[in-house]
Amino acid sequence: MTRGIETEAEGVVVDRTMTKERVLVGRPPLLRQTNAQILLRLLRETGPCSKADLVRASGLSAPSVTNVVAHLALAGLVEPIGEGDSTGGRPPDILRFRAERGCVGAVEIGPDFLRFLLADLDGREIGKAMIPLERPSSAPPEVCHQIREAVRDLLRHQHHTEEQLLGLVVGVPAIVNVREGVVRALSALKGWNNVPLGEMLAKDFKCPVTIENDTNLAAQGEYYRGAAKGEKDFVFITIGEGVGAGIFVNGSLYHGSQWTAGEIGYLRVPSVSREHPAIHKYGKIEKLLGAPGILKSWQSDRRRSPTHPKVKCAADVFDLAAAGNAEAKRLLRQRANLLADIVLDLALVLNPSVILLGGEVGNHPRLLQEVEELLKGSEYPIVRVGLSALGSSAVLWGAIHTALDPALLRLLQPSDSLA
Amino acid sequence: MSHSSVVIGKSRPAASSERAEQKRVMMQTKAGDGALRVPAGYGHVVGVDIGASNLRVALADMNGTMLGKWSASTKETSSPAMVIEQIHTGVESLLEQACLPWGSLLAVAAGAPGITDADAGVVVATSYLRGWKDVPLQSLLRAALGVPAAVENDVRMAAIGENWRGAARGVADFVFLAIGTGIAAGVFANGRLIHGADFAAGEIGYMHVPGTPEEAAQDGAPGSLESVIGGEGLRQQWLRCCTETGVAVSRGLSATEILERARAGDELAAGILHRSAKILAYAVYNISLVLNCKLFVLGGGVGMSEPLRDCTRHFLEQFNEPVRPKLTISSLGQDAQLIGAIRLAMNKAEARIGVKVGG
Repeated sequence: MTRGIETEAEGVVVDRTMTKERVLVGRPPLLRQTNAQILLRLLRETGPCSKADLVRASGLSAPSVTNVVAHLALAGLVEPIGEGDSTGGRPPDILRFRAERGCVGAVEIGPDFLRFLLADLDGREIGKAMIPLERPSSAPPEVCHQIREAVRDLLRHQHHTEEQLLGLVVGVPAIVNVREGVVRALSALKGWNNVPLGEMLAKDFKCPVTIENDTNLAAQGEYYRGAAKGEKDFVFITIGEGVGAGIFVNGSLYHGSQWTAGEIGYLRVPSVSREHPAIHKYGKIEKLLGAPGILKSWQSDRRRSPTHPKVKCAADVFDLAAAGNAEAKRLLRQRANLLADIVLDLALVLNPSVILLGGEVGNHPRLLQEVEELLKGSEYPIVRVGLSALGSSAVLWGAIHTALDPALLRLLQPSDSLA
Repeated sequence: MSHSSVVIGKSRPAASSERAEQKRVMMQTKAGDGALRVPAGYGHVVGVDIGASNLRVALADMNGTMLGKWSASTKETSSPAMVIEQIHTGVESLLEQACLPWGSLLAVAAGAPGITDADAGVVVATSYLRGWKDVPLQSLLRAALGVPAAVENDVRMAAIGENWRGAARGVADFVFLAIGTGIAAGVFANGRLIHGADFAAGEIGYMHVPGTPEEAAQDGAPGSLESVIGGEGLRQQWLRCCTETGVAVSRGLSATEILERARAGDELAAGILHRSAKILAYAVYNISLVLNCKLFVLGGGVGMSEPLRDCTRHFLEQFNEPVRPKLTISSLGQDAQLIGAIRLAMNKAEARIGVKVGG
């Protein structure tokens, strides 16, 4: 079937044939690949087992399993580890998944740091690192250099070769064209407009490099191993220096038509129009809700009444609110109002099963509590709201899981298509 | 898997002779890309739009060409059994008119005005039709008409229609905004409908944007957004204005008439139009931010109003934001739902006979 995709003048992507679904024809290589994925998942989930166990658990025929296991062994993904207990006949060979066959890497570019995580093919951590970023002078080539050196160091420390690195995913606090690996604009750093980061990094690594928005990766992390496990429709809101949302629809991440889905920092909500009419002139509620906005409000309150306690970060203000400080409580309430408006909009448009709050500010239990109270008062039976389970490591884990499946798939592809 | 393998509920000789026939007609219409196609006359589908006050049934061939329409009032007959019976009557009369046997019917799809579980084929809840609750519409239709059936929420059905043959033809990401008595959105993302966790995605009647009423709506009363933009809300505002200003004439205007009056220069009506359009602009802007969606198709009695579209466009421009979604009026109008239902029924028919069809 031909798929005609064209772009109209206004940038609306038109897919003339999109109402028809592609018909997948089950040719032998594809079938074997699908079966290989099934067996791999079984081996990963249940641990070492025999071929007979795989036949029972997968529902595939014994010859198919033998065939696929041979294919997996050839790809270096399974190996026999000796004989199991006999139930009468010849003792069965026990097979295991060789998670150490390779590894995948995750990089998080933060406002003032670079974080790294290395995991085996089973998604288990094998090493991590963090280095400071000198902001705002960190130009793209320098950051690329830092990433290259740090990943190489990490591989060496864990006794892995560069060939064993099967995929690298980089999270960036910016709008990212994922297909092309281009960072649109990164406000925290200088000189980061339309940077072809994917291309730049691909020169330094032998494996595929994927660039993705950090909030989207955090949502992936929560989906694979955090608070959104098994949720096909959910939203992850991060509130830290900035505000953003990662949106899962029908079981996968939704990017929107120009990669900016979830840019909720610019929403227009009633609580802001009411209390801060000027804010909309800048088009950013992010300035209020983000950590810098909260700190700024607190400092300006302190100037008026110097008895206010000093705080180091935005979370401190919410801690003070929890301890009963009236001024901090008022500030918390105001931010919770704003967040409740955002949550309501997202819930009505997307009907997610849960909305998770993360980031330095978003992950504060007192904020969640306030938002839940406000939502209870709303007229509409509203969504469940919860906290991120992975905290500050959500982005890295999301990157690891984004890298894993394609890495395994590539190992399973017939060798002629690897060229 | 062979293409022509699925013929259900037939005796083996009948099925195999039918299969041979199917193969014959399809081989004749093998298209340039090698895909087998069914000729338009091979079979037919029925699309149904169950509205709050009207039931509409349409018969179409496998090109999606409508061969006839039939309608009836649902005011007196709102129970599921009665509506099914009406649909049966409608299909019967349409087939008769087209001189087609029942056997040529391949599938049916129906849109319902409420929360609809499209996977299970159940109308979960609706405030119309005297409050249907957990009605297994899909199996009722299958039993009554003897063909595979599909059901979907009416607004999403209209979105399918607009995506297939309307103002969003082939657009992978767009929002269909239905503004009639109330307001709801049908959202396409990556070429697929968004349903949400409880099939309630796009139920934006309760959305809060700057300018919507702050106090919580009473149980069963329209939501804050609905109360300003919905047809009933517009009429209420008009009545209030009439009372406040002592204008007694034309109290009984419809929502579209009020909006037309605004265009003709009536100041009272213009005030209402401005307020509604500004709030609609906020809603459109917020939804477009969340979804990164550039195209909004306006449908429904109020949504189709040109003055409302123009005024809303004006406000969207005034926001002066980098994000400026495009507003366009539905090109299928009242038929959007029916056309969406025909497309969904054709999908069902394709699945049944195991081939892609034209259109």
